[in-house]
Amino acid sequence: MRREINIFKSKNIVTGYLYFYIHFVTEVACFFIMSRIIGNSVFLWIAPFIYDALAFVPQSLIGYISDKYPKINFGIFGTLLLVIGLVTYSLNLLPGSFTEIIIMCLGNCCLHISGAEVTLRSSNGKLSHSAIFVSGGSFGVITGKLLSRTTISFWIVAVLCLTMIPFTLLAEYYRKENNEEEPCANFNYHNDKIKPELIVFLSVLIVIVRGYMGYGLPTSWNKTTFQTIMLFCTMGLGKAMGGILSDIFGMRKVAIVSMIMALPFLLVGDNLMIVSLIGVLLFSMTMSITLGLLVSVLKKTPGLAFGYTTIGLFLGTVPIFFFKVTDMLTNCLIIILLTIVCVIIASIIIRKGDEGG
Amino acid sequence: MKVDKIKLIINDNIINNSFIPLIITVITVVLIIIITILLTKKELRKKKKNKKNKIYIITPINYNTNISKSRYGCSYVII
Repeated sequence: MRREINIFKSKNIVTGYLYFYIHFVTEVACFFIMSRIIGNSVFLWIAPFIYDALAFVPQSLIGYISDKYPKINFGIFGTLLLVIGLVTYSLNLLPGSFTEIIIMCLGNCCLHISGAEVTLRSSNGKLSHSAIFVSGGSFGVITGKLLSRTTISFWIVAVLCLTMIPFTLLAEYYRKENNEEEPCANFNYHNDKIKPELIVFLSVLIVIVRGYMGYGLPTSWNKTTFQTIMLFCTMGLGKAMGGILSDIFGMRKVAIVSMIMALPFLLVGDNLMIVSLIGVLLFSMTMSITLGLLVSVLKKTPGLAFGYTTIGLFLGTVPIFFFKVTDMLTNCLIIILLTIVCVIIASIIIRKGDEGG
Repeated sequence: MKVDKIKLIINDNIINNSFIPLIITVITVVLIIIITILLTKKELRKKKKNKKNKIYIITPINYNTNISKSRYGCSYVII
């Protein structure tokens, strides 16, 4: 297959940009409401835990339903749920402390699945589309957190959510255009000699490890709002770059090189922002790579494959809620060890000489 | 007495507002993960069946050669 050097000319790349915006707004709304709720100290860790669980894990089931019933427009459904969550929270209409969070979580799930379905089905085996879609989340998370510190009204965020509707409808057009029985047939990044079940397990294991490491990265330099913005923007940029570079240079090279190269930058850059950010950029590149691997195995159910990555992310973040490694040396050793494990797994499960199709 | 009352209120608050949703969330997560694994197994089994039933392109080979009939028992070779 010919490699796309210019991603801007890649077929249906517009779906990536459409869902970049949708993903951005989704995370703005969710983190806006979450940050306001967390203001109540009783829910300091329970609210984020419930949010992570219910926003990430059900995506596999919703993804499977979306795979089997493509006529359901989960994008519109998710948008409406987000608006309902915001309005009911601002008017205090529903009983219980977590009802709005659950509604927001379900909306978040639906929009993520819609994005995954559209970008994966229309990409013709390329990773750029889904990588650009995924990257929008990091920018949205930090924007939502910052907006929650202001006096901005819930209604403004609700109106912002409604702006997603035309984008969702336009993106749905691309999905209908690529609604074949096996739309992801060109995703062939996995090693054929390994059992598909094992590839799914090992790919999820990489996601779990990377999810855990994401919270344990040594970033002592991160003290100001500007530095936090830089951190989240670099994460988003890294996620997008992972898919784009994989389409240009091949997934195997990008996966292994980014993982190994990130290590020294992350370890040395504890107090040096620029050095650390280079490490974060490289570290974030694996997100779309694991998605590409899972879709290669589950070609007929890209929604289910996407759900696996979010389950992995949740499982990776679970330990953070219960314990944190405070010793710097132990933390560095854990990062080194986990990176070696990920590199070995990636070199085994990614097909040699891959170009995607 | 006052301190005890306050403690009780806080505990009730946490139990009513946090622990029950937390337990429900954990159970939901476990159930969804189990269902996801079962669905994946089902999908991968389907894939294996489809591979077995794959239609191969059959091309005729030279009828005059003895190899074709003796080695393959038919006049066609599956490629």
